[in-house]
Amino acid sequence: MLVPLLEISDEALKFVGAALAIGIGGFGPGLAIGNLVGKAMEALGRNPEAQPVIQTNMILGIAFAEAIAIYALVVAIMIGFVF
Amino acid sequence: MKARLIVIGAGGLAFLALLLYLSIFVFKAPKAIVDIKSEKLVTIAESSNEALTVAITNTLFTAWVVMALLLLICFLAVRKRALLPSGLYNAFEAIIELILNFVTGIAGERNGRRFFPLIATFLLYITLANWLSLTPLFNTIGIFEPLGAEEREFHEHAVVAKEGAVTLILPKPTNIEIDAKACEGLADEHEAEACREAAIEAATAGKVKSGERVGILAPYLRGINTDLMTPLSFALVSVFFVEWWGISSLGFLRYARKFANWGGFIKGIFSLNIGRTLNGFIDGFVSFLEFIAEVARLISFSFRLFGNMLAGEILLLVMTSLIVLAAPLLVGFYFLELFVGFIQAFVFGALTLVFAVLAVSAHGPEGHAEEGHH
Repeated sequence: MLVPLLEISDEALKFVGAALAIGIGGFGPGLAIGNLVGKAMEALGRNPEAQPVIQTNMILGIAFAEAIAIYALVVAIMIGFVF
Repeated sequence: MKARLIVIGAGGLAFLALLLYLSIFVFKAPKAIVDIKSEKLVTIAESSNEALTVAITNTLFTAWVVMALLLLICFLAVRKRALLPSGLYNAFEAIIELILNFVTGIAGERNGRRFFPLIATFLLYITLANWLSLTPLFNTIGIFEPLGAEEREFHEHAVVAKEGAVTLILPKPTNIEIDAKACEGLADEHEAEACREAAIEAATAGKVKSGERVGILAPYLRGINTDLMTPLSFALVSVFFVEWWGISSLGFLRYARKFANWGGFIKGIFSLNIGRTLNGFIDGFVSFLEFIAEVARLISFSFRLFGNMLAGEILLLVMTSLIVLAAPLLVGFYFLELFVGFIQAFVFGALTLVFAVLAVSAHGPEGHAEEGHH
């Protein structure tokens, strides 16, 4: 028989779930955005005349990476406030 | 030098910690309440099924207000036309020219002028809506819905407000949290009603003075993108137009072949050539994946805008309740939200533009050869 060491309520587990959702979900996009901006800066240093094109594409790429973090955020908000 | 930096940093952190402690435990800042669903202002057709209830919600009303404002600005701008533009007309022309240059720079002169109206509408409308939702009129003035024992008047959170025709929630409402779970699962309607009444009684005891009411505020104005339905409708418009442009410039069959490219597979089977069959199968599978990406676009478009704007409002709300004493610090977050509001509108327009450019360009060598004739 398993004896529960701690009484964990469903409410507490809900918040743990929300924190895990945004915590793990923010990890990948963070790496991605850092990598993207770093590479864009590198490209800017090599080719400063291409600044408008690089900047536009960088912002588009960041939007794609950020979208994943936003999904995690929406899930976390849903767990925290709706259910 | 290094020691001084450490002292300044530690002092700053200690000061912030003190502010937080004072705000939360001494001054008891109000807790942020987040309501994901938009509130109903006028109910047109009531139904027991929530999905079939037709109502004008505050986000819909706000969308109309933003539209009217945008039309008014446009009307005022183009009213006086002169050879030498000046004032508002000049500013508007500059904005439009900036967007036109951006669109034609990515899509080319001919297609750019075709895509321009939709992209410019997205940019101007979403930016204006996002920026307007930062003004103090939003989320503060509205209809006060009383709290009652009847099921549709029962809420888990409520605030205490002064009696009056127009309700303002400023500056420090008293939050009331009601134990709603206790009354779930009571089959008998009268019993449930009595239970809810008792729960309200228990939660509000000692908190309501004379001339005050308990209820929730349904604000007249609420940021339109904090309700999932608005970004979803933007996404539907965007995807519809992208498909429409694709079909109208490539023809239905050639456009459909992007998503169901099984021709090579069938030819390979009939010619009994295993290599060609496998190649055709891979092509078909890739086109199927492209179809899924097309549908997933709806989700990513709508959730990106919704999540960003909702997170922005929650950020401002939580920061206000965390650091009441350091309200000037909030100006920084306001600027961040101004930036995010514009960037999200830009991303929405730019992504629609990129997808439209992809949709009107044909795949494969034959497509490129034909493109030259246009």
